Amino acid sequence: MSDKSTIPFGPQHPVLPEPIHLKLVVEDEKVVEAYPAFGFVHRGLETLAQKKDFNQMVYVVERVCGICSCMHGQDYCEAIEELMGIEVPVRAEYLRTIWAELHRIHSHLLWLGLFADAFGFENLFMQTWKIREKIMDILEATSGNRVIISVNIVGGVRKDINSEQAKWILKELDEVERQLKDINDVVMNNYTVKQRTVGIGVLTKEEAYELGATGPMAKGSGVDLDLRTTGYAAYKYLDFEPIVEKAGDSYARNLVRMREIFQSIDLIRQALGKIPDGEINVPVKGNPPAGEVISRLEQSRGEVVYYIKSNGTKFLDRLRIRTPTFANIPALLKILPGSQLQDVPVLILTIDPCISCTER
Amino acid sequence: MIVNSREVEIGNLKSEVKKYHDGGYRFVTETCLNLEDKFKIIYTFAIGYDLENIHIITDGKNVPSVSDIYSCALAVENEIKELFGIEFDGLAVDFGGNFMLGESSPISPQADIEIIRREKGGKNE
Amino acid sequence: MLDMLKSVFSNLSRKPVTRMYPFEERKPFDINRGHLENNIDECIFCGMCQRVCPSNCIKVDRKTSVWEYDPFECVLCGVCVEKCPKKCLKLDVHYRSCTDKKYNIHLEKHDDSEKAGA
Ligand code: SF4
Ligand code: SF4
Repeated sequence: MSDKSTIPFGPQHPVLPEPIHLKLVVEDEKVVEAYPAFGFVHRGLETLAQKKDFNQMVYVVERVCGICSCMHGQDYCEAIEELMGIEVPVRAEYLRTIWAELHRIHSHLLWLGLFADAFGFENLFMQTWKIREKIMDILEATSGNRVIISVNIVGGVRKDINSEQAKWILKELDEVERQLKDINDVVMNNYTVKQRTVGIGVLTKEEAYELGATGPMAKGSGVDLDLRTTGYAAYKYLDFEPIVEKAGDSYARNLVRMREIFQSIDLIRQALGKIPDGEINVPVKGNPPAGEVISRLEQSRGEVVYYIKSNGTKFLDRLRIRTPTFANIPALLKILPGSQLQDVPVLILTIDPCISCTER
Repeated sequence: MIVNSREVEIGNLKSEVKKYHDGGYRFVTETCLNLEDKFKIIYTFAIGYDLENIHIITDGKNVPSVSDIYSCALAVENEIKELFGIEFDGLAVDFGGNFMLGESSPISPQADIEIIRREKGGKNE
Repeated sequence: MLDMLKSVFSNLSRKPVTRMYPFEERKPFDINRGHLENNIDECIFCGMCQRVCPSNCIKVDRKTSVWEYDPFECVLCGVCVEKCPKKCLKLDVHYRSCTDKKYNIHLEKHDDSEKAGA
C-alpha cells in the first residue's frame, strides 16, 4: 500500500490565473482528497454597500469580477429597478444585452486560452487571445474602456451605439466568426485537446443538479438551465435555444462554451438588427423603498444571484452576491478526487473559476 | 423578484429543507443578514427557474447545518460561519475558519454582533 | 493532429499582430477614458463631483477654492464628468504615463482668475 502525501497547489501556480489554494492529498499520482482555501482576494465589497449610496454601488459591483463585470452591473441595476418600479427603455435593454453578450464572448475566449495553456497548447492560447482582442476593441470603442466598461446605471445605460458603430461591430464580428471557425475545428477534433479533456472530470446530470452547478458546468452535464430563456433584458425579443451537451466531461463543457460563443455572435447580430430608437435611460428620483429583492441573470460562468435588502435610505442594508463560481466549487470538489495529479489544472480551469467573484 | 420568504422554526428547519430536497428543488444559496441582536438566514431553493425562500431567525448558536441534505451547502455555510461567526451544528466538512479567512484575518468581519471568539490561528502565530 | 497548420502558415506570411509598443502606439478611440482633467477656471467648487464619485478621490474645498484629486484612486468611471454642472471636467483619451511615485493633483483658483497649480 502506498503512502499518502499532501501537495499544496496554488495560490500562485504557473498555470492558474486565479489565486486559489488547494490542499491535495495524493496517493502516488492519484488525488484522493482536495480541500480548498480562498480569501486571498476578499475585498469586502458586500459590506461596502452599507457605506456607498446605491448609485455609486453600480461601479463597485462591476469590480466584483473583471471578466463579466458588465453583467454584475446589469444584475444589480435590474434588482434596484425592480425594487423601485422603474421601467427601463427598450433601447437600453437591447444595449445591455449587446454588451453582456460581448462580455460572454470575451470571457469564453479568455477561458479557452487559459484552458489551452493549462494543458500546454500554447499555440491555441495565442490564437484565441488574438481573436479576443477584436472583442476588446469593440468594447473599448463603444464604452470607453476595455474591461470594466461602466455602462449600466440604475434606469438604463450611459453610452449609446450609433448606426455607424453598429455597422463596424457587425463587420468585426464577421471577421471574428471567420477566425473562430478555424479554432473551432481545433477545439473539437485536435488530438491533444481530446486526450486531455475527453472523459476527464465527469459530472453526471444528477450530480450537477444536486450540487447546484450552474452555467456551462451544468449545461455540459445535460442540465437544461439557462436564465436567458426567462427573458430578462432584451432576450425576450431574441430567438435562441440554450446549449446543452450530454457527456458531462471537460470536453463537453468545451463544446458548450465554444457553441455559446457562436450563439452570442448570433444574438448580437439579432439585437443590432432589431434595436429600436429611443431614450437610453430614464431619470431616477428618490431612494429605493424598503424591501428585499432577488435578481438573477446568466453570466458566462452561470447564474449570478443578487440579494438586496433596502431600508428606504440611500444606503442598502445588505447586498449579497452569489456568484456562479461559488456555486461551482462543490462540483469541482466532487470531480477532483479520483483524478490524476496532472489533470488538476485542467479540472480547475474547466469550471472557469473566477476567484475574485467567489470572494467578493 | 421581490423576496417573499416564509419563516421557519429552527427546530423544523431540517424537515422543511428535506421537503424541498425531495421535491426536486436545487439549492441556490443561503444569505445571512444582521438584525439588531440576531441573525436572519435566508435559504433559497429553485425549481426550474422559480425561486422559493424560507428563513430562520437565530442568535447565531447551534444552527442546524443543512449540508447533510444538500452537500453543496457546505461552502456557503462555511463562508457564513467565518464572515458572521455563526455556529453550525453538523457541518459536513468544517474548514475550521480557513475557508475565507486566514490566520491573521479579523474575526467575523461582516457581523454586527460578536458571538464566537475563535482561538486565533491555534498554531504558533 | 495538423489542425493548427492552417493558422501556422497564415501567420508565417502575415505581419505581427502585436505592436512594438513604446515606438508605435495605437490611436485611442474617441471615447476612451484615459485621464481626468479639470478646467479650473470654470469650476465653481460646488462639490458635486466629490459627492457622486464612487471612489472618493476628489476633495473640493469651497472656502479656499481648492480642487484636489487623487489619480491613483480614480476608477475612471466618468460619473463626475456627467454630473458636473459647469462641464469643466473632461476625460481625455490619453492615459496618464506610469510612475513610481504617487501624487495628488492639486488645483486652486484665485479671485482674479489668476491660475496656480502645484
Ligand atoms: S462638479 Fe464641476 S464645478 Fe462642481 S466642484 Fe466639481 S469640477 Fe467644480
Ligand atoms: S472618473 Fe469616477 S472615480 Fe474618477 S474622479 Fe470621476 S467620479 Fe471619481
